[in-house]
Amino acid sequence: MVRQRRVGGWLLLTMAVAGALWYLRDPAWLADQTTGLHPWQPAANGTRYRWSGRHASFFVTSDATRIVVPVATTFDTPADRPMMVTFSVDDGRAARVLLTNASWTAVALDMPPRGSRRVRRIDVRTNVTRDDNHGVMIGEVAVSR
Amino acid sequence: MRTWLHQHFVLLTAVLCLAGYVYAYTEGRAGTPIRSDAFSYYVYLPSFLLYHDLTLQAVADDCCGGEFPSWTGFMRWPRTHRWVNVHPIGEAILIAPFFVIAHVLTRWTNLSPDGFTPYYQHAAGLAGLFYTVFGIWCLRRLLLRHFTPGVTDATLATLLLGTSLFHYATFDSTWSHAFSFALFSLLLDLADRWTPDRGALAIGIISGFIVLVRHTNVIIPIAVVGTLAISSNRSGRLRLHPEGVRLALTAAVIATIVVLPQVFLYESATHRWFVNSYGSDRFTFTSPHVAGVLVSPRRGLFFWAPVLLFGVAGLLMTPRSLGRWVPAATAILAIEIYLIASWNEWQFGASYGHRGFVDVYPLLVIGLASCYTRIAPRPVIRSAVATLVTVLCALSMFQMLQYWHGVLPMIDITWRQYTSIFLQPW
Repeated sequence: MVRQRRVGGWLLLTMAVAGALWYLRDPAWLADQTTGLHPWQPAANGTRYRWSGRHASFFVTSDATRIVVPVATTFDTPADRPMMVTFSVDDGRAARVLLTNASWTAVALDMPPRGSRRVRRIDVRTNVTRDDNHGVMIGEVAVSR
Repeated sequence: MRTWLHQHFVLLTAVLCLAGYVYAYTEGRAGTPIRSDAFSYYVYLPSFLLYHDLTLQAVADDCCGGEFPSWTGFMRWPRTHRWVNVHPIGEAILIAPFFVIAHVLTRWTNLSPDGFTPYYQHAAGLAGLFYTVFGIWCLRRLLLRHFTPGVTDATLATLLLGTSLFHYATFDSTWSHAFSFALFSLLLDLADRWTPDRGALAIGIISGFIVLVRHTNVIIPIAVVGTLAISSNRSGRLRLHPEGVRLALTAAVIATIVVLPQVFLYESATHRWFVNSYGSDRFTFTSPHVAGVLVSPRRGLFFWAPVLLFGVAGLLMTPRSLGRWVPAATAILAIEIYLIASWNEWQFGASYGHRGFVDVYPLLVIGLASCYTRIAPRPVIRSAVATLVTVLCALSMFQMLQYWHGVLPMIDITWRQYTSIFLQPW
């Protein structure tokens, strides 16, 4: 009887762990996760943007075939060096741009074929930062499906 | 019912702490687990295991644009320009198994594997909770050798609910105190059942970890192992116990080996073997705030956890089998009080109760159980004390929730403030 209960307990635990892992493979809440991004701010042209730190990440839906990410940074002082911005999709490098002036640059990222998950992770890294750990301003991402 | 409660006491403790943890983080009051001091205790893990960088610079680059913010407790060593962390590596080592699981899960879910996304955060938070419950399990094992099951359960329930231990198992579980509490509880349990033929290795390792988590806690293993090395004969005169001396020497060597990585880390950052990682913060030994740390509304240990007064009184009533620990307990408490009261930031910043004393709660547990044992045969006193302790535990939990919800100030609370918000809901 005791042995049966013990086996039943282990079986239940294994099923719970397997269920949790199945759920965590592709949870719906992942779409809203970001790291290293400040709150949204309005831009002068009526659009909006948010500052990144040196490293930021966000998610886009995996049915996207191409996304366009507008980025810009500041060049307020002569000491502000050009900024290299590197993009990766699910840890694979996707694009790299060098920002040499304050104008916005639209970076197009061709997405790999749709996988088994509902979202893809986009990481944005800069080689330098401005004051207070500010990397690039990231505008609204345009998604082509 | 009583038997069922006794059999499942540790499990119930874990469930209660988990419920508190979930409440603290779903209510959004606690922010993220890796914050404030916890950041500097934890940062070794992403730095060493993800970036393979002993200098901490890679994390500073990734998280903070190259420079750790001033609130994080790092300083650049003037001559080498390398980062020196105010906090040592012990807690990070204890969190490491949880960190590895979090990293695997992070990869599995495809979150950013930077060391600070949600799984890493809650792995660190739940590690503190786990170690608190483990500490309670160790203390329970110790107490059951000397006291009845009823006294043991009552003592541990009082400790968890009547002091700041619950807070440091849940809301601030990533601070070092839960880890130090667990290590001291384990050391005390091991030392209490030590026999000359075994135990030196474990006692040495645990002693080393106590120092690795918080350097000033070196007095704990010295006093505990010292007690095993010194014994009194029938006339009450102290003498060295040969087996105990052998244990002390072996444990000291092992503990030194355990601490060596920290020493090498200091040397690589500063080119010095011994460093005051706190920089300009200092002890002010000539003007200790003893009343401040013991009885003041600002941070008084007994003001915020008056049930511990039974623990202090109980140290005078310990059963003969535990009597040998009383001098060590007295010495540790006296030195801790003097050290904490002499630290220039004697309030220890934001804290519910005085967090500096959480590390030595295991000593007061012995006193608390002794006190309960003494009053157990006296029904009238027992009822009065049980009622009083229940009220004090309820008050402590209520005030803790006031702290969680921002009703109680995190620092510098005055008597006038305290009375103006006494029993004020959130």
